[in-house]
Amino acid sequence: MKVRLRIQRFNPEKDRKPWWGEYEVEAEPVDRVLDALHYVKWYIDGTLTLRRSCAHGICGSDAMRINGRNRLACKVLVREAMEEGRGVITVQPLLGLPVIKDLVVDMEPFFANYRKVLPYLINDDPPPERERLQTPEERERYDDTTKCILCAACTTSCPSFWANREYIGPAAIVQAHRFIFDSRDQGATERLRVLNEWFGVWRCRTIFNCVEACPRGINITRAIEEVKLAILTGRLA
Amino acid sequence: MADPKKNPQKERQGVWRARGDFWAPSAGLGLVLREIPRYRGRVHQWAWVANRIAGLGTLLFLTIHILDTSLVYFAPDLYNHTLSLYRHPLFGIGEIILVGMVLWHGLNGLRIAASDFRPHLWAPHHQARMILGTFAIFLALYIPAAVIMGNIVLQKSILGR
Ligand code: SF4
Ligand code: FES
Repeated sequence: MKVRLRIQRFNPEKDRKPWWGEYEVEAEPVDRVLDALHYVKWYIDGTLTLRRSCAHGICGSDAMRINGRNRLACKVLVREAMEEGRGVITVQPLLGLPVIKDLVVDMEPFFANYRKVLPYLINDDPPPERERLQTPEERERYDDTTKCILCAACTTSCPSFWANREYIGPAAIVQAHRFIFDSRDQGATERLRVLNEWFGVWRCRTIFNCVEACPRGINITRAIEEVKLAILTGRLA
Repeated sequence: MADPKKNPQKERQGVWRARGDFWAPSAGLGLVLREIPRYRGRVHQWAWVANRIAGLGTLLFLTIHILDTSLVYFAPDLYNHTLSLYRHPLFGIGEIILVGMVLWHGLNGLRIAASDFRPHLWAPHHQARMILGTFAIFLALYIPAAVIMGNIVLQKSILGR
């Protein structure tokens, strides 16, 4: 099928502002939007710049805004995107992070927020002989938030983040949740302190754009609400 | 615009950020207002937008109301004049809208407060249903109220009875 693409382009060496590039490519209906972008880059305009690594929804490097909604280019079928966009697929970089070139954004502000929540196991007890054991129920408690691939689709879909880049953002809260509710971890107090700050968890207005955007289907708003409750009650139930 | 001569590739490594060689829309209310209609969020996003508009509208009314009531003390004549202005049908219609905003803001707030202590309710499909439910209650209360109020406005200020 013929696929029409509208891609937001920006070259820092030439452009002051982004502009729209229009391309027409031939694709199978079951190709992904990523394939169509590849086609543009490989056969039409080699300067088109985008990030991708695995091309199979694992690495989280090709999150972008497709037809006005954040998702992974490697997980959206051309057929669906064409239907949705009534014959044109619109592709933009994630909103709210600085655009370095075309579809590539600077992820550093995102990772800075990620680091703030101490996203690693904190446990000062001497390591046991073998692994730190945990019951299946204890593992289940934070299962949902272990799935995050740090693609930033959630944070950059959030109006709270658009309004204020200081907001720590849904992804960082998801990562914090993953450790706060891990029975082996002892850093919950410190993380909850970080998330209780002015630009922490209370900036969430339960708008749900993050949940809709998450390619891993994580119920982010629920995780955020659980963190809010933990801050309020001091309990990690 | 960056000058390519002054900006060879190796120099760019690691320093581009300091040189501001990127594009970023400035964060803030402007960006939210511009992007909310463009981002294709679902019913949850619109419930929030409606909640904000209703909240701001109510705040605006409260501010005006506090100001005009304070006239009683500072300038009684002006106060009476203001009151007569309020009898204009435009204000009657404004009142009908105000009731709608207070009602939506209140009901939507109740939905959020009711969910806040039950994290399992924060699933998109649950909330979508609760939002639609809230909207149904809103309509059930608001339509009769608006009809009654509209009738009064019509009778009083337009037909002059
Ligand atoms: S929570 Fe989902 S959308 Fe957000 S960074 Fe992780 S995988 Fe991406
Ligand atoms: S390229 Fe790895 S997630 Fe899409």
